[in-house]
Amino acid sequence: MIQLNERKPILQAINLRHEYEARGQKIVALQDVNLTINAGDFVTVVGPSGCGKSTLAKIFAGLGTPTSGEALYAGKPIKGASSERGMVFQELAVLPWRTVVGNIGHGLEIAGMPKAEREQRVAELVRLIGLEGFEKKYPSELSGGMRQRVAVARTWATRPPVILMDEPFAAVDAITRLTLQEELIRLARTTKQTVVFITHSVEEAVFLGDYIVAMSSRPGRVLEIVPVPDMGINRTWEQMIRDPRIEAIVSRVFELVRGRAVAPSTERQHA
Amino acid sequence: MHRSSSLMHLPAWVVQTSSIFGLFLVWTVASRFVAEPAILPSPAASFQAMADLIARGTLTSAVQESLITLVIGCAICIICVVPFALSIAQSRQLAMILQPMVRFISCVPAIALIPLFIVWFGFSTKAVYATLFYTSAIPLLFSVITGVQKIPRVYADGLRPLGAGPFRIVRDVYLPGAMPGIEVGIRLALSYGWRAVIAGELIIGSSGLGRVLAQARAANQVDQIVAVMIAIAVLFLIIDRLILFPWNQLISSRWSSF
Repeated sequence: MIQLNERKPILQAINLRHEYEARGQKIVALQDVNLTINAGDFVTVVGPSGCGKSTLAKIFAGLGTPTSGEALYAGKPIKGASSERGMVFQELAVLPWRTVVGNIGHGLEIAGMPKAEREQRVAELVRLIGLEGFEKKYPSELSGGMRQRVAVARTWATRPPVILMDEPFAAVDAITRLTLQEELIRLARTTKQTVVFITHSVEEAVFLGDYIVAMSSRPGRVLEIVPVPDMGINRTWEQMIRDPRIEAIVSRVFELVRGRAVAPSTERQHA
Repeated sequence: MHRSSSLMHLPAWVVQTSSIFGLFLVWTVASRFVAEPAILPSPAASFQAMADLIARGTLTSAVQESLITLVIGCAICIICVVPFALSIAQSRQLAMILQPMVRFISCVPAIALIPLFIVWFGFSTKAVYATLFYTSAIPLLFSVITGVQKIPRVYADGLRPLGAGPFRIVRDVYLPGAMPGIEVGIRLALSYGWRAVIAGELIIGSSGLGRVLAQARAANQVDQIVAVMIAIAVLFLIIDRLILFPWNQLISSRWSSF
């Protein structure tokens, strides 16, 4: 954690609390959430469904406002969505009436980038995500994995300082998911992109993250921040599952999110 | 069982054509049976009457008048209603307040409003336009609102972090996303509108096919009445098949959800 503190904080949550009403009952989605994410970090947020992790991502994106507390971007309170914080959703958010290139270039088009430059940037991204030959296809003509690649590329295209990803691979089949995860790691590391990745899968969280924010079930609170040893850019699943350190982290995070952890090990928290 | 399955093997157009052919067969037999051309003219007599009306130029100019009224009226309706519907669909509260109001108004059939339109606009094409507008606006409004409400929220949410403002979101999400609803609305507007034009012209008697119908009735020319009826049906079939149907196919293929 010491090395992380040396970097500049980019996202901060201060005493965040979020409540909403469902069927006349008040539900506390987030409570006392304090979190600092530094520029260049790849953070994974993991927790059981209903722990408010998606709400947290929406608040950081500016698509939701907390009931109390503050969410800061670069030290300033977040007011509404902005192109500084991109977001990839679990559901298919790419527009079905736009082609692959139309979707990927959408953010650049909104930013007013000249057409020639935009086309060049989009072509690069298409190559990077391996969708050459599918440029003029509509999302309905693509597989689930390809569509999520388009969604990621659309957000990546504008190079926002922060990218929030809310379970982006949850709807993709297990084998494609592995490939997408490996590609994401490579993309994030080579571009030094700050990513906040929300997931309910402990393995995914451990595989992707520099550190893991483990959250409790309703009301959502941050239980512990678990660092992951650096596995390098070209980490693969095969390599990760054989590493005993990773195995230990996975079981620790499992204990946490299932609420079975014995008193949080102080040694790990201050590691 | 055997018969129905063998019917299935025929191409659809053969079945459809023979169905229409059957209608004419029944009509021929019925007109023979009635044997009174002043009550039910035979198909042959009706087509003869149609040919006469065309030769005199009555039918062609009436068709022109009615179609122009339909097209201009629907265009005005689309220009007024689509932006209105898009804006009220944005706000759930506004839609909630306005929908019962519009629903109540829509309970009054257009034909019942024609007397009012005659008082306001006289026996003129304006009264026909009013009837058409009233009839077409309501299904169009509801279709567009439904179309917008069917757009997944995540489409707009996904665009905001890309830097899209409200105007962008309407242009890039709501307008194209509501296309299937707009398309259904325009189809309904045209088909309801076509009926409204004929009914309006028939009662108001200003111009078009409705007036020819009214004149034929006054002159007791039943064969002409039937001829005009066929013209009305065929015209709408052509509009629907040649223009609206291909458009619908295009939209539903592109907009199909995953």
